[in-house]
Amino acid sequence: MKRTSILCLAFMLIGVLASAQEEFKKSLSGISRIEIETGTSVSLKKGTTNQLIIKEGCSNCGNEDEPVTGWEASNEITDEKAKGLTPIYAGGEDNTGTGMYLEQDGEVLRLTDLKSFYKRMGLTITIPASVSLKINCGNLGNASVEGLTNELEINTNVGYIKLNNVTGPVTAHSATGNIDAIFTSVNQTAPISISSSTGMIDVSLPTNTKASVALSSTMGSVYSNFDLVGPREDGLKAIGGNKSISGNINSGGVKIALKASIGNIYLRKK
Amino acid sequence: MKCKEIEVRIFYYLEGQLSKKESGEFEKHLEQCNGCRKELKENKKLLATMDTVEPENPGTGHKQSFEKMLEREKQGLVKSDSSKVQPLFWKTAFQIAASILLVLCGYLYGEHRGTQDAQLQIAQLTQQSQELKTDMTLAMMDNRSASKRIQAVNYSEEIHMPENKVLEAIIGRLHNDDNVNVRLAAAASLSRFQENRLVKDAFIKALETEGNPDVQIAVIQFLAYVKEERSVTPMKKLLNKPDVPDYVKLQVNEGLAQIL
Repeated sequence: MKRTSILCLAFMLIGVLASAQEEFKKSLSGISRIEIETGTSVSLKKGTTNQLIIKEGCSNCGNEDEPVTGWEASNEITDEKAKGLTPIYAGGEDNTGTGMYLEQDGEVLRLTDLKSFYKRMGLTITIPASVSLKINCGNLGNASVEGLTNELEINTNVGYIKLNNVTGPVTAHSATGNIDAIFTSVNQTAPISISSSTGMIDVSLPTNTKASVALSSTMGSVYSNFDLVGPREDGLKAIGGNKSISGNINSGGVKIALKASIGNIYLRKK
Repeated sequence: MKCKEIEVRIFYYLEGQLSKKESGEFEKHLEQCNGCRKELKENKKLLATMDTVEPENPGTGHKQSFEKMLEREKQGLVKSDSSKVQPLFWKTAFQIAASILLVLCGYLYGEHRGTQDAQLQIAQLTQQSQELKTDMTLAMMDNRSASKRIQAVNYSEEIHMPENKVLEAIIGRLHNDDNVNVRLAAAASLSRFQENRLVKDAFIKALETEGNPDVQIAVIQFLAYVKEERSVTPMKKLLNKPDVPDYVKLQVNEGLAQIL
Protein backbone atom coordinates (compact mmCIF):
# COMPACT_ATOMS: atom_id res chain seq x y z
CA MET A 1 0.00 0.00 0.00
CA LYS A 2 2.75 2.35 0.95
CA ARG A 3 4.71 1.48 -2.15
CA THR A 4 1.82 2.10 -4.49
CA SER A 5 1.18 5.50 -3.01
CA ILE A 6 4.84 6.44 -3.47
CA LEU A 7 4.63 5.17 -7.00
CA CYS A 8 1.51 7.19 -7.59
CA LEU A 9 3.19 10.30 -6.28
CA ALA A 10 6.15 9.73 -8.55
CA PHE A 11 3.88 9.22 -11.53
CA MET A 12 1.96 12.31 -10.63
CA LEU A 13 5.10 14.37 -10.49
CA ILE A 14 6.26 13.06 -13.84
CA GLY A 15 2.83 13.66 -15.24
CA VAL A 16 2.80 17.25 -14.03
CA LEU A 17 6.29 17.85 -15.36
CA ALA A 18 5.45 16.28 -18.70
CA SER A 19 2.25 18.23 -19.07
CA ALA A 20 3.89 21.43 -17.88
CA GLN A 21 6.05 21.35 -20.96
CA GLU A 22 3.02 21.68 -23.20
CA GLU A 23 2.63 25.37 -23.83
CA PHE A 24 0.73 27.28 -26.48
CA LYS A 25 1.38 30.88 -27.43
CA LYS A 26 -0.54 33.20 -29.68
CA SER A 27 -0.21 36.89 -30.41
CA LEU A 28 -3.35 38.84 -29.52
CA SER A 29 -3.02 41.80 -31.84
CA GLY A 30 -6.49 42.87 -32.94
CA ILE A 31 -8.17 40.81 -30.24
CA SER A 32 -10.26 42.60 -27.63
CA ARG A 33 -12.07 39.69 -26.01
CA ILE A 34 -11.32 36.07 -25.14
CA GLU A 35 -14.02 33.54 -24.42
CA ILE A 36 -12.96 30.29 -22.77
CA GLU A 37 -15.11 27.21 -22.35
CA THR A 38 -13.60 24.49 -20.22
CA GLY A 39 -14.40 21.93 -17.57
CA THR A 40 -11.29 22.22 -15.50
CA SER A 41 -9.88 24.67 -13.03
CA VAL A 42 -8.20 27.65 -14.56
CA SER A 43 -5.72 30.08 -13.18
CA LEU A 44 -5.78 33.34 -15.11
CA LYS A 45 -2.86 35.71 -14.87
CA LYS A 46 -1.85 39.03 -16.30
CA GLY A 47 0.95 38.74 -18.82
CA THR A 48 3.54 41.35 -19.65
CA THR A 49 3.45 40.70 -23.39
CA ASN A 50 0.54 40.97 -25.80
CA GLN A 51 0.31 37.18 -25.96
CA LEU A 52 -2.02 34.44 -24.97
CA ILE A 53 -0.12 31.66 -23.21
CA ILE A 54 -1.82 28.40 -22.30
CA LYS A 55 -0.03 26.00 -20.00
CA GLU A 56 -1.12 22.65 -18.76
CA GLY A 57 -1.64 22.43 -15.00
CA CYS A 58 -2.14 25.15 -12.47
CA SER A 59 -0.98 25.90 -9.00
CA ASN A 60 -3.16 27.63 -6.43
CA CYS A 61 -6.31 26.91 -8.35
CA GLY A 62 -7.75 24.32 -6.08
CA ASN A 63 -6.49 21.19 -7.71
CA GLU A 64 -4.19 20.26 -4.84
CA ASP A 65 -7.28 19.90 -2.67
CA GLU A 66 -8.68 17.23 -4.92
CA PRO A 67 -6.72 14.00 -4.71
CA VAL A 68 -5.80 12.68 -8.11
CA THR A 69 -6.34 8.96 -8.26
CA GLY A 70 -3.53 6.70 -9.27
CA TRP A 71 -5.45 5.37 -12.19
CA GLU A 72 -5.77 8.75 -13.82
CA ALA A 73 -2.15 9.71 -13.27
CA SER A 74 -0.75 6.44 -14.49
CA ASN A 75 -3.13 6.40 -17.41
CA GLU A 76 -1.65 9.63 -18.67
CA ILE A 77 1.91 8.45 -19.00
CA THR A 78 1.69 4.72 -19.56
CA ASP A 79 -0.24 5.31 -22.73
CA GLU A 80 2.51 4.03 -24.97
CA LYS A 81 -0.01 2.57 -27.34
CA ALA A 82 -0.84 6.11 -28.47
CA LYS A 83 2.59 6.60 -29.96
CA GLY A 84 2.34 7.70 -33.55
CA LEU A 85 -1.30 8.56 -33.14
CA THR A 86 -2.79 11.97 -32.41
CA PRO A 87 -5.64 12.38 -30.02
CA ILE A 88 -8.92 13.25 -31.67
CA TYR A 89 -11.86 14.78 -29.90
CA ALA A 90 -15.57 14.80 -30.38
CA GLY A 91 -15.71 18.53 -29.78
CA GLY A 92 -13.50 19.51 -32.69
CA GLU A 93 -9.94 19.66 -33.92
CA ASP A 94 -7.06 20.28 -31.52
CA ASN A 95 -5.42 23.20 -33.29
CA THR A 96 -3.37 24.38 -30.33
CA GLY A 97 -1.58 21.20 -29.32
CA THR A 98 -3.00 21.55 -25.82
CA GLY A 99 -6.31 19.87 -26.40
CA MET A 100 -8.02 23.23 -26.94
CA TYR A 101 -9.86 24.30 -30.06
CA LEU A 102 -9.13 27.89 -30.99
CA GLU A 103 -11.32 29.98 -33.22
CA GLN A 104 -11.19 33.64 -34.08
CA ASP A 105 -14.32 35.63 -34.85
CA GLY A 106 -13.46 39.23 -35.58
CA GLU A 107 -12.07 40.70 -32.38
CA VAL A 108 -13.17 37.71 -30.33
CA LEU A 109 -10.99 34.69 -29.68
CA ARG A 110 -12.81 31.54 -28.58
CA LEU A 111 -11.07 28.68 -26.82
CA THR A 112 -12.97 25.47 -26.30
CA ASP A 113 -11.48 22.75 -24.15
CA LEU A 114 -11.71 19.43 -25.93
CA LYS A 115 -10.40 17.26 -23.13
CA SER A 116 -12.76 16.01 -20.52
CA PHE A 117 -12.50 17.12 -16.93
CA TYR A 118 -10.94 13.78 -16.02
CA LYS A 119 -8.02 14.27 -18.37
CA ARG A 120 -7.25 17.79 -17.22
CA MET A 121 -4.97 18.79 -14.40
CA GLY A 122 -6.02 22.39 -14.64
CA LEU A 123 -4.85 25.15 -16.95
CA THR A 124 -2.80 28.26 -16.48
CA ILE A 125 -3.73 30.95 -18.97
CA THR A 126 -1.83 34.19 -19.25
CA ILE A 127 -3.40 37.09 -21.10
CA PRO A 128 -2.60 40.79 -21.35
CA ALA A 129 -4.68 43.11 -19.18
CA SER A 130 -6.03 44.90 -22.25
CA VAL A 131 -8.48 42.17 -23.30
CA SER A 132 -11.78 41.39 -21.69
CA LEU A 133 -12.44 37.85 -20.62
CA LYS A 134 -15.36 35.49 -20.48
CA ILE A 135 -14.79 32.09 -18.95
CA ASN A 136 -17.02 29.19 -18.12
CA CYS A 137 -15.41 26.56 -15.92
CA GLY A 138 -18.00 23.87 -16.52
CA ASN A 139 -19.32 21.71 -13.75
CA LEU A 140 -16.39 21.26 -11.44
CA GLY A 141 -13.70 23.75 -12.40
CA ASN A 142 -12.57 26.62 -10.22
CA ALA A 143 -11.58 29.98 -11.58
CA SER A 144 -8.88 32.08 -10.04
CA VAL A 145 -7.93 35.42 -11.49
CA GLU A 146 -4.92 37.52 -10.55
CA GLY A 147 -4.38 41.10 -11.58
CA LEU A 148 -6.64 41.32 -14.63
CA THR A 149 -8.00 44.85 -14.90
CA ASN A 150 -10.35 44.53 -17.86
CA GLU A 151 -13.89 43.26 -17.86
CA LEU A 152 -14.36 39.77 -16.44
CA GLU A 153 -17.30 37.47 -16.94
CA ILE A 154 -16.92 34.28 -14.97
CA ASN A 155 -19.22 31.35 -14.52
CA THR A 156 -18.68 28.20 -12.50
CA ASN A 157 -21.02 25.56 -11.21
CA VAL A 158 -19.49 23.80 -8.23
CA GLY A 159 -16.10 25.40 -8.38
CA TYR A 160 -15.14 28.51 -6.51
CA ILE A 161 -14.23 31.87 -8.00
CA LYS A 162 -11.28 33.84 -6.63
CA LEU A 163 -10.54 37.29 -7.93
CA ASN A 164 -7.47 39.00 -6.65
CA ASN A 165 -6.36 42.55 -7.46
CA VAL A 166 -9.08 43.19 -10.01
CA THR A 167 -10.87 46.44 -10.86
CA GLY A 168 -14.03 45.33 -12.64
CA PRO A 169 -16.38 45.44 -14.37
CA VAL A 170 -17.04 41.95 -13.05
CA THR A 171 -19.94 39.63 -13.69
CA ALA A 172 -19.46 36.46 -11.70
CA HIS A 173 -21.80 33.62 -10.91
CA SER A 174 -21.32 30.31 -9.18
CA ALA A 175 -24.10 27.87 -8.43
CA THR A 176 -22.60 26.38 -5.29
CA GLY A 177 -19.07 27.72 -5.11
CA ASN A 178 -17.87 30.56 -2.93
CA ILE A 179 -16.87 33.80 -4.58
CA ASP A 180 -14.05 35.91 -3.16
CA ALA A 181 -13.13 39.18 -4.79
CA ILE A 182 -10.51 41.70 -3.80
CA PHE A 183 -10.64 44.95 -5.71
CA THR A 184 -7.71 47.34 -5.96
CA SER A 185 -10.00 50.02 -7.34
CA VAL A 186 -13.44 50.02 -8.89
CA ASN A 187 -13.98 50.83 -12.54
CA GLN A 188 -16.92 53.24 -12.75
CA THR A 189 -17.92 52.56 -16.37
CA ALA A 190 -20.07 49.46 -15.93
CA PRO A 191 -21.69 47.68 -13.01
CA ILE A 192 -20.32 44.85 -10.92
CA SER A 193 -22.61 41.90 -10.34
CA ILE A 194 -21.73 38.85 -8.27
CA SER A 195 -24.14 36.06 -7.43
CA SER A 196 -24.00 32.59 -5.92
CA SER A 197 -26.88 30.30 -5.13
CA THR A 198 -25.51 28.42 -2.16
CA GLY A 199 -21.99 29.74 -1.88
CA MET A 200 -20.76 32.68 0.14
CA ILE A 201 -19.77 35.97 -1.39
CA ASP A 202 -16.86 37.86 0.10
CA VAL A 203 -15.94 41.18 -1.47
CA SER A 204 -13.25 43.63 -0.37
CA LEU A 205 -13.30 47.18 -1.67
CA PRO A 206 -10.88 50.04 -1.10
CA THR A 207 -12.24 52.39 1.58
CA ASN A 208 -12.51 55.31 -0.83
CA THR A 209 -14.56 53.39 -3.41
CA LYS A 210 -17.51 55.28 -4.86
CA ALA A 211 -20.35 52.85 -5.33
CA SER A 212 -24.06 52.24 -4.97
CA VAL A 213 -24.33 48.79 -3.51
CA ALA A 214 -27.27 46.40 -3.35
CA LEU A 215 -26.76 43.38 -1.12
CA SER A 216 -29.32 40.65 -0.81
CA SER A 217 -29.27 37.13 0.50
CA THR A 218 -32.58 35.29 0.43
CA MET A 219 -31.78 33.00 3.33
CA GLY A 220 -28.34 34.07 4.45
CA SER A 221 -27.03 37.08 6.32
CA VAL A 222 -25.30 40.18 5.13
CA TYR A 223 -22.23 41.55 6.90
CA SER A 224 -20.37 44.73 6.18
CA ASN A 225 -18.17 47.29 7.84
CA PHE A 226 -19.21 49.94 5.37
CA ASP A 227 -21.82 52.31 6.73
CA LEU A 228 -24.80 51.32 4.60
CA VAL A 229 -27.91 51.19 6.73
CA GLY A 230 -28.82 54.43 8.40
CA PRO A 231 -30.56 54.35 11.78
CA ARG A 232 -34.28 54.00 11.44
CA GLU A 233 -36.37 57.00 12.33
CA ASP A 234 -38.43 55.03 14.84
CA GLY A 235 -35.27 53.95 16.64
CA LEU A 236 -35.73 50.26 15.89
CA LYS A 237 -32.84 48.22 14.67
CA ALA A 238 -33.02 47.38 11.00
CA ILE A 239 -33.33 43.68 10.38
CA GLY A 240 -32.56 42.49 6.88
CA GLY A 241 -34.58 39.33 6.42
CA ASN A 242 -35.27 38.57 2.78
CA LYS A 243 -34.85 42.23 2.03
CA SER A 244 -32.32 43.86 -0.14
CA ILE A 245 -29.94 46.25 1.56
CA SER A 246 -28.88 49.10 -0.61
CA GLY A 247 -26.85 52.14 0.09
CA ASN A 248 -24.22 54.48 -1.17
CA ILE A 249 -20.55 54.29 -0.33
CA ASN A 250 -18.77 57.64 -0.51
CA SER A 251 -21.91 59.30 -1.87
CA GLY A 252 -22.51 56.72 -4.55
CA GLY A 253 -21.06 55.59 -7.84
CA VAL A 254 -21.12 52.52 -10.04
CA LYS A 255 -23.66 49.89 -9.09
CA ILE A 256 -22.38 46.83 -7.25
CA ALA A 257 -24.91 44.03 -6.81
CA LEU A 258 -24.12 41.06 -4.59
CA LYS A 259 -26.79 38.41 -4.47
CA ALA A 260 -26.86 35.09 -2.69
CA SER A 261 -29.68 32.67 -2.07
CA ILE A 262 -28.41 30.65 0.87
CA GLY A 263 -24.87 31.81 1.49
CA ASN A 264 -23.84 34.82 3.49
CA ILE A 265 -22.52 38.01 1.99
CA TYR A 266 -19.48 39.80 3.36
CA LEU A 267 -18.59 43.27 2.16
CA ARG A 268 -15.34 44.52 3.63
CA LYS A 269 -13.17 47.57 3.65
CA LYS A 270 -9.84 46.64 2.24
CA MET B 1 -36.67 160.63 -40.12
CA LYS B 2 -39.99 159.07 -40.86
CA CYS B 3 -43.25 159.51 -38.97
CA LYS B 4 -43.01 156.05 -37.41
CA GLU B 5 -39.57 156.73 -35.95
CA ILE B 6 -40.83 160.09 -34.64
CA GLU B 7 -43.70 158.37 -32.89
CA VAL B 8 -41.30 156.02 -31.07
CA ARG B 9 -39.02 158.85 -30.01
CA ILE B 10 -41.68 161.41 -28.89
CA PHE B 11 -41.34 160.67 -25.17
CA TYR B 12 -37.53 160.51 -25.32
CA TYR B 13 -37.62 163.94 -27.05
CA LEU B 14 -39.97 165.47 -24.50
CA GLU B 15 -37.79 164.26 -21.62
CA GLY B 16 -34.62 165.46 -23.40
CA GLN B 17 -33.02 162.06 -23.71
CA LEU B 18 -32.14 162.22 -27.41
CA SER B 19 -28.65 163.11 -28.71
CA LYS B 20 -28.10 166.55 -30.35
CA LYS B 21 -27.95 165.04 -33.79
CA GLU B 22 -31.15 163.07 -33.23
CA SER B 23 -33.10 166.00 -31.82
CA GLY B 24 -31.94 168.13 -34.77
CA GLU B 25 -33.31 165.54 -37.21
CA PHE B 26 -36.47 165.30 -35.06
CA GLU B 27 -37.15 169.05 -35.18
CA LYS B 28 -36.37 169.12 -38.92
CA HIS B 29 -39.10 166.51 -39.53
CA LEU B 30 -41.57 168.35 -37.32
CA GLU B 31 -41.19 171.51 -39.44
CA GLN B 32 -42.31 169.60 -42.50
CA CYS B 33 -44.89 167.13 -40.99
CA ASN B 34 -48.21 168.49 -39.71
CA GLY B 35 -49.46 165.13 -38.28
CA CYS B 36 -46.35 164.65 -36.16
CA ARG B 37 -46.50 168.22 -34.81
CA LYS B 38 -50.06 167.54 -33.66
CA GLU B 39 -48.97 164.26 -32.08
CA LEU B 40 -46.18 165.98 -30.21
CA LYS B 41 -48.56 168.67 -28.98
CA GLU B 42 -51.00 166.06 -27.56
CA ASN B 43 -48.29 164.13 -25.86
CA LYS B 44 -46.87 167.32 -24.37
CA LYS B 45 -50.34 168.10 -22.99
CA LEU B 46 -50.63 164.50 -21.53
CA LEU B 47 -47.35 164.83 -19.72
CA ALA B 48 -48.31 168.25 -18.36
CA THR B 49 -51.64 166.83 -17.09
CA MET B 50 -49.88 163.89 -15.38
CA ASP B 51 -47.56 166.30 -13.63
CA THR B 52 -50.52 168.22 -12.16
CA VAL B 53 -52.08 165.09 -10.48
CA GLU B 54 -51.21 164.97 -6.76
CA PRO B 55 -49.75 161.60 -5.59
CA GLU B 56 -52.20 159.87 -3.17
CA ASN B 57 -50.76 159.01 0.29
CA PRO B 58 -52.00 155.96 2.27
CA GLY B 59 -54.03 156.80 5.40
CA THR B 60 -52.42 156.28 8.86
CA GLY B 61 -54.75 153.34 9.73
CA HIS B 62 -53.66 151.45 6.68
CA LYS B 63 -50.27 150.40 7.95
CA GLN B 64 -51.72 148.97 11.20
CA SER B 65 -54.50 147.09 9.51
CA PHE B 66 -52.01 145.73 7.00
CA GLU B 67 -49.81 144.35 9.77
CA LYS B 68 -52.84 142.89 11.50
CA MET B 69 -53.92 141.28 8.29
CA LEU B 70 -50.43 139.86 7.81
CA GLU B 71 -50.49 138.47 11.31
CA ARG B 72 -53.89 136.90 10.73
CA GLU B 73 -52.71 135.46 7.50
CA LYS B 74 -49.61 134.00 9.20
CA GLN B 75 -51.68 132.33 11.91
CA GLY B 76 -54.06 130.98 9.33
CA LEU B 77 -51.12 129.62 7.42
CA VAL B 78 -49.71 127.84 10.47
CA LYS B 79 -53.16 126.43 11.20
CA SER B 80 -53.70 125.22 7.70
CA ASP B 81 -50.14 123.80 7.68
CA SER B 82 -50.82 121.55 10.66
CA SER B 83 -54.11 120.49 9.16
CA LYS B 84 -52.44 119.84 5.81
CA VAL B 85 -49.53 117.72 7.17
CA GLN B 86 -51.85 114.85 8.15
CA PRO B 87 -53.30 114.13 4.70
CA LEU B 88 -49.84 114.62 3.21
CA PHE B 89 -48.46 111.88 5.51
CA TRP B 90 -51.23 109.45 4.57
CA LYS B 91 -50.74 110.24 0.93
CA THR B 92 -47.02 109.49 1.12
CA ALA B 93 -47.74 106.32 3.03
CA PHE B 94 -50.18 105.27 0.36
CA GLN B 95 -47.68 106.10 -2.33
CA ILE B 96 -44.97 104.05 -0.63
CA ALA B 97 -47.37 101.18 0.00
CA ALA B 98 -48.51 101.28 -3.60
CA SER B 99 -44.96 101.23 -4.90
CA ILE B 100 -44.05 98.36 -2.56
CA LEU B 101 -47.14 96.52 -3.71
CA LEU B 102 -46.22 97.15 -7.32
CA VAL B 103 -42.69 95.88 -6.82
CA LEU B 104 -44.00 92.87 -4.93
CA CYS B 105 -46.51 92.09 -7.66
CA GLY B 106 -43.79 92.40 -10.27
CA TYR B 107 -41.53 90.14 -8.27
CA LEU B 108 -44.24 87.55 -7.72
CA TYR B 109 -45.24 87.66 -11.35
CA GLY B 110 -41.63 87.30 -12.44
CA GLU B 111 -41.12 84.53 -9.93
CA HIS B 112 -44.21 82.77 -11.17
CA ARG B 113 -43.16 83.16 -14.78
CA GLY B 114 -39.65 82.09 -13.87
CA THR B 115 -40.73 78.92 -12.07
CA GLN B 116 -43.16 78.22 -14.86
CA ASP B 117 -40.35 78.47 -17.39
CA ALA B 118 -38.02 76.46 -15.18
CA GLN B 119 -40.67 73.82 -14.63
CA LEU B 120 -41.26 73.63 -18.34
CA GLN B 121 -37.54 73.33 -18.95
CA ILE B 122 -37.17 70.67 -16.25
CA ALA B 123 -40.09 68.76 -17.71
CA GLN B 124 -38.50 68.93 -21.14
CA LEU B 125 -35.12 67.86 -19.81
CA THR B 126 -36.69 65.01 -17.86
CA GLN B 127 -38.47 63.86 -20.98
CA GLN B 128 -35.26 64.10 -22.97
CA SER B 129 -33.31 62.12 -20.40
CA GLN B 130 -36.07 59.51 -20.29
CA GLU B 131 -35.92 59.18 -24.06
CA LEU B 132 -32.15 58.97 -23.90
CA LYS B 133 -32.33 56.25 -21.29
CA THR B 134 -34.84 54.33 -23.39
CA ASP B 135 -32.47 54.55 -26.35
CA MET B 136 -29.49 53.54 -24.26
CA THR B 137 -31.36 50.65 -22.70
CA LEU B 138 -32.39 49.33 -26.09
CA ALA B 139 -28.99 49.94 -27.67
CA MET B 140 -27.01 48.23 -24.93
CA MET B 141 -29.41 45.36 -24.39
CA ASP B 142 -27.63 43.15 -26.94
CA ASN B 143 -24.10 44.16 -25.99
CA ARG B 144 -21.53 41.38 -25.96
CA SER B 145 -20.44 42.40 -22.49
CA ALA B 146 -22.61 41.01 -19.69
CA SER B 147 -21.77 43.98 -17.51
CA LYS B 148 -23.07 46.36 -20.20
CA ARG B 149 -26.26 44.34 -20.52
CA ILE B 150 -26.75 44.65 -16.77
CA GLN B 151 -26.11 48.36 -17.10
CA ALA B 152 -28.79 48.53 -19.79
CA VAL B 153 -31.25 46.78 -17.49
CA ASN B 154 -30.29 49.18 -14.68
CA TYR B 155 -30.84 52.18 -16.96
CA SER B 156 -34.36 50.98 -17.60
CA GLU B 157 -35.05 51.32 -13.87
CA GLU B 158 -34.69 55.07 -14.28
CA ILE B 159 -37.42 55.19 -16.90
CA HIS B 160 -40.68 55.94 -15.10
CA MET B 161 -43.08 54.60 -17.66
CA PRO B 162 -41.10 52.41 -20.04
CA GLU B 163 -42.62 51.69 -23.41
CA ASN B 164 -43.58 48.14 -24.22
CA LYS B 165 -40.54 47.70 -26.44
CA VAL B 166 -38.32 48.40 -23.43
CA LEU B 167 -40.24 45.92 -21.30
CA GLU B 168 -40.04 43.33 -24.08
CA ALA B 169 -36.30 43.84 -24.37
CA ILE B 170 -35.86 43.25 -20.63
CA ILE B 171 -38.18 40.24 -20.77
CA GLY B 172 -36.03 38.93 -23.62
CA ARG B 173 -33.03 39.16 -21.28
CA LEU B 174 -34.94 37.37 -18.51
CA HIS B 175 -35.83 34.50 -20.81
CA ASN B 176 -32.85 34.16 -23.09
CA ASP B 177 -29.69 35.69 -21.66
CA ASP B 178 -26.99 33.09 -21.11
CA ASN B 179 -25.62 35.00 -18.14
CA VAL B 180 -27.29 34.34 -14.80
CA ASN B 181 -26.50 37.78 -13.43
CA VAL B 182 -28.16 39.49 -16.38
CA ARG B 183 -31.26 37.34 -15.90
CA LEU B 184 -31.25 38.23 -12.20
CA ALA B 185 -30.95 41.94 -12.97
CA ALA B 186 -33.78 41.64 -15.49
CA ALA B 187 -36.00 39.91 -12.93
CA ALA B 188 -35.20 42.58 -10.33
CA SER B 189 -35.92 45.35 -12.81
CA LEU B 190 -39.22 43.85 -13.93
CA SER B 191 -40.35 43.27 -10.34
CA ARG B 192 -41.55 46.85 -10.00
CA PHE B 193 -44.31 46.35 -12.59
CA GLN B 194 -46.63 44.43 -10.35
CA GLU B 195 -49.77 45.26 -12.28
CA ASN B 196 -48.42 44.74 -15.76
CA ARG B 197 -49.93 41.77 -17.58
CA LEU B 198 -46.95 41.50 -19.95
CA VAL B 199 -44.55 41.25 -17.01
CA LYS B 200 -46.68 38.73 -15.12
CA ASP B 201 -46.90 36.51 -18.19
CA ALA B 202 -43.14 36.76 -18.61
CA PHE B 203 -42.55 35.66 -15.02
CA ILE B 204 -44.93 32.71 -15.39
CA LYS B 205 -43.10 31.63 -18.54
CA ALA B 206 -39.74 32.02 -16.77
CA LEU B 207 -40.99 29.80 -13.98
CA GLU B 208 -41.35 26.99 -16.49
CA THR B 209 -38.14 27.55 -18.46
CA GLU B 210 -35.63 28.86 -15.93
CA GLY B 211 -33.06 26.37 -14.66
CA ASN B 212 -30.96 28.50 -12.34
CA PRO B 213 -32.03 28.39 -8.68
CA ASP B 214 -31.26 32.08 -8.04
CA VAL B 215 -33.42 33.28 -10.88
CA GLN B 216 -36.09 30.73 -9.96
CA ILE B 217 -36.22 32.18 -6.45
CA ALA B 218 -36.48 35.74 -7.77
CA VAL B 219 -39.32 34.67 -10.07
CA ILE B 220 -41.13 32.76 -7.33
CA GLN B 221 -40.84 35.70 -4.92
CA PHE B 222 -42.35 38.09 -7.45
CA LEU B 223 -45.25 35.83 -8.34
CA ALA B 224 -45.98 35.13 -4.69
CA TYR B 225 -45.83 38.83 -3.87
CA VAL B 226 -48.39 39.75 -6.53
CA LYS B 227 -50.46 36.67 -5.61
CA GLU B 228 -50.60 35.45 -9.18
CA GLU B 229 -52.92 32.46 -9.16
CA ARG B 230 -51.96 31.31 -12.64
CA SER B 231 -48.52 30.47 -11.26
CA VAL B 232 -49.78 27.82 -8.87
CA THR B 233 -49.69 24.96 -11.40
CA PRO B 234 -46.15 25.63 -12.69
CA MET B 235 -44.98 26.07 -9.10
CA LYS B 236 -46.40 22.71 -8.13
CA LYS B 237 -44.62 21.23 -11.16
CA LEU B 238 -41.34 22.58 -9.78
CA LEU B 239 -41.96 20.72 -6.52
CA ASN B 240 -42.07 17.43 -8.42
CA LYS B 241 -38.87 18.03 -10.39
CA PRO B 242 -36.00 16.03 -8.90
CA ASP B 243 -33.27 18.39 -10.13
CA VAL B 244 -34.74 21.45 -8.40
CA PRO B 245 -32.75 22.11 -5.20
CA ASP B 246 -34.50 21.84 -1.86
CA TYR B 247 -34.08 25.50 -0.98
CA VAL B 248 -35.93 26.45 -4.16
CA LYS B 249 -38.71 24.05 -3.23
CA LEU B 250 -38.82 25.75 0.17
CA GLN B 251 -39.39 29.07 -1.59
CA VAL B 252 -42.09 27.46 -3.74
CA ASN B 253 -43.91 26.23 -0.63
CA GLU B 254 -43.67 29.64 0.99
CA GLY B 255 -44.89 31.22 -2.22
CA LEU B 256 -47.81 28.85 -2.54
CA ALA B 257 -48.80 29.57 1.06
CA GLN B 258 -48.76 33.29 0.25
CA ILE B 259 -50.91 32.93 -2.86
CA LEU B 260 -53.49 30.45 -1.56
